Amino acid sequence: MLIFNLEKDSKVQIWAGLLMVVLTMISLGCDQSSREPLPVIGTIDIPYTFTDQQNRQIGQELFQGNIYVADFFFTSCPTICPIMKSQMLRIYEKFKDNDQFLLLSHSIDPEHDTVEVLNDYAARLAIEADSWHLVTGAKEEIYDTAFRYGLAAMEDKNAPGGFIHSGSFTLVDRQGKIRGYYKGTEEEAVDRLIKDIGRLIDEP
Amino acid sequence: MSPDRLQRWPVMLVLLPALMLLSGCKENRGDPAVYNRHCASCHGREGQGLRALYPALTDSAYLGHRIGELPCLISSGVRGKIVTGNRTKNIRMPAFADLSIQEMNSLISYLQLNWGKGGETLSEQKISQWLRTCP
Repeated sequence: MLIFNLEKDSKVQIWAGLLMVVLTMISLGCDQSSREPLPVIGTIDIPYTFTDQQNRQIGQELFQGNIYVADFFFTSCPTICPIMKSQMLRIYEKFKDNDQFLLLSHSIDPEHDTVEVLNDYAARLAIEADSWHLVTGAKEEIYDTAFRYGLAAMEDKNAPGGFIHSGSFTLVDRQGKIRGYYKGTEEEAVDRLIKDIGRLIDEP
Repeated sequence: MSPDRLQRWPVMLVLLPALMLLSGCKENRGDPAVYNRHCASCHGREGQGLRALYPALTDSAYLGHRIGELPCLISSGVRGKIVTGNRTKNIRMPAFADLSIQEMNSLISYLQLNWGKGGETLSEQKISQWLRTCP
């Protein structure tokens, strides 16, 4: 009798276990968003070379085979850049030890943001130049680059700091394809970006 | 209900309103409007700053005995070195010359209430007096 009961109990347990597995699979299946690959929005083609905070020449070839996030800012920006940079720091801290991931911030105020200024800025943020490149270059080339990343940047004497630019981050995969845009001023958007970077890292 | 349980009721009746009163007693933190509009993007909503790039306001001599220097510092901005305690920092802060006396008073009161170390009570008169001493 005792043996029979034990068998019955374990059968119930097996069925309950199976039910749990099926339910988990169904609930996971509902989350289509994390199963489908990120969309391909465009292809990055930057014919210019910029200079980073360590005075190194930075061209597109450095980023080939790497996943990276690009944005546009200027060091004296009084409005959205500080928030963008504090969010970018979250991404940096999460992936700085991953050798397939880079960050690329372009200054849209190259006249003021010289290599020396960018170097000081990087030092104050305590970031490593090998994982986060802050670059400066010819103004028209930087603005054209912003356009190629699908982001807006322009001079405007009436704007605080003298420039208007997008607060978005562009996510680029190993093949140089744009895979997403994220508001760099919103914590939730950057949470999503951090997840999506993880998904690109897992892509073959 | 057991008599034991009944005895707990008066205690609960006293404790509950007391807790409700306490939670209603919010500290006066001032009006964050000017701070959030002009300062929070760099110095942070909680005055925490951003690493060595934007100084934290939570432990600043300017919110203690040097508070009188603050109106000029805010309205003229900072370009170059400032000395706080035994540290010299190279700072670049934009000028907020367009703030009215009312806004300046509201802002500095907010800073003082949140991260200040006591000190004198502010007024619009005092702020405009300090502003007249700007270099």
